[in-house]
Amino acid sequence: MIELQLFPALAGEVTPIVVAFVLGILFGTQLQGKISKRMIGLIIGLSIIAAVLFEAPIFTWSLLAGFISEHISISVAFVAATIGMFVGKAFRGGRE
Amino acid sequence: MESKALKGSRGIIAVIALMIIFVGVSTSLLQLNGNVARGISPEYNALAPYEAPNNLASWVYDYRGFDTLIETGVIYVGALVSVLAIGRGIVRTKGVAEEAPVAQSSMDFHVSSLNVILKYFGIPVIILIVAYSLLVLTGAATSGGGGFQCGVIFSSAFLLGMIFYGKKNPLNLSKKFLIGIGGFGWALYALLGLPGYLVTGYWQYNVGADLWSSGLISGVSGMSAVVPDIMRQIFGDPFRILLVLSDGTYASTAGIVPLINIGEAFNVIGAIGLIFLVFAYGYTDEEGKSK
Repeated sequence: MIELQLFPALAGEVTPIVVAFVLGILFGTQLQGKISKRMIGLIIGLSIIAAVLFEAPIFTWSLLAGFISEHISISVAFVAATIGMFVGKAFRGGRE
Repeated sequence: MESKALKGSRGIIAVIALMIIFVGVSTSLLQLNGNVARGISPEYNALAPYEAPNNLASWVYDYRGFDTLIETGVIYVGALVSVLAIGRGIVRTKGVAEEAPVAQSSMDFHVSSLNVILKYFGIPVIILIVAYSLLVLTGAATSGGGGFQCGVIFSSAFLLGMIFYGKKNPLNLSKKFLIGIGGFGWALYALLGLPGYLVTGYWQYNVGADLWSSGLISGVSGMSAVVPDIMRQIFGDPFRILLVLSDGTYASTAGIVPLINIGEAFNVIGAIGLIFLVFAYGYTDEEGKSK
């Protein structure tokens, strides 16, 4: 068992988060219609709950990747993808 | 198929083909008797976990990556052919081009509040499903996920939006976008074989993981290192994780497998999304007319 490490994180723990965020932006540009701030807050809240349920990927050991302890971890990639979609929508997806 | 279709020469050909298959399978089973040639599978099963924790990803995208590439092509071509052959669209076929596929009145008839639920929960559900598909994609090397699964999950979000909102689908994927992303995904998958070909002569050799000549695996010898360090770093380091196994700790990487999965996901999203879109609205609807 490896102890939690804050830094440095191996690249393989961070790259999936970056990829999820970038792809979230890509597909966020395809969203149309208006989404209220309350709805955005609801979706991000739900995504954080889901991230706790999904947990961090196996063999990730850094806090940056969402690893807190052996039985408690967060899927940061899921939250990153959700936030990325809103960023993408802000870029280009606001059209009706 | 009706029984009349099997009369005459077709019936004779069918019977002969079935007999050949029956005799072939029967004799193969009789000859087994414990003498199955094991092939290279045991060796690769032993090696694969050192590349990615998800053994299946190593098999499908590394060991059998070439096969999967062609399968990916089959999906894309199959989608295009299906669209061209029968993609007239249920909305156009019924002559209600402007109407959403789901009739509002029928829903009101059963549960008056159902539309309100769909209206307000549809968008969060669609966005969360898309985020989940991306999570599945990024976990290709470390979990049971992958490009195929991502594409299917993403397409289900697209279909859900189409059913809930019709043409006002919040996830507004156009035909141009779907065809483009599908083609780009297939091209990405195919071109990821180029680095391996240039340095080893084998298309789609996993230059990032480089299992066979990196010296990572003890006991595998007789192969000289042919992949330059710079190639290992470019394709391997971004996906390097600390693999803690019962026999030791390894800083392993899945190499090009996660990148291949991104291409795979794009291809499946494009293919299945296009089928959903065109089967619902038709190929010549709006965008096609404008051209």
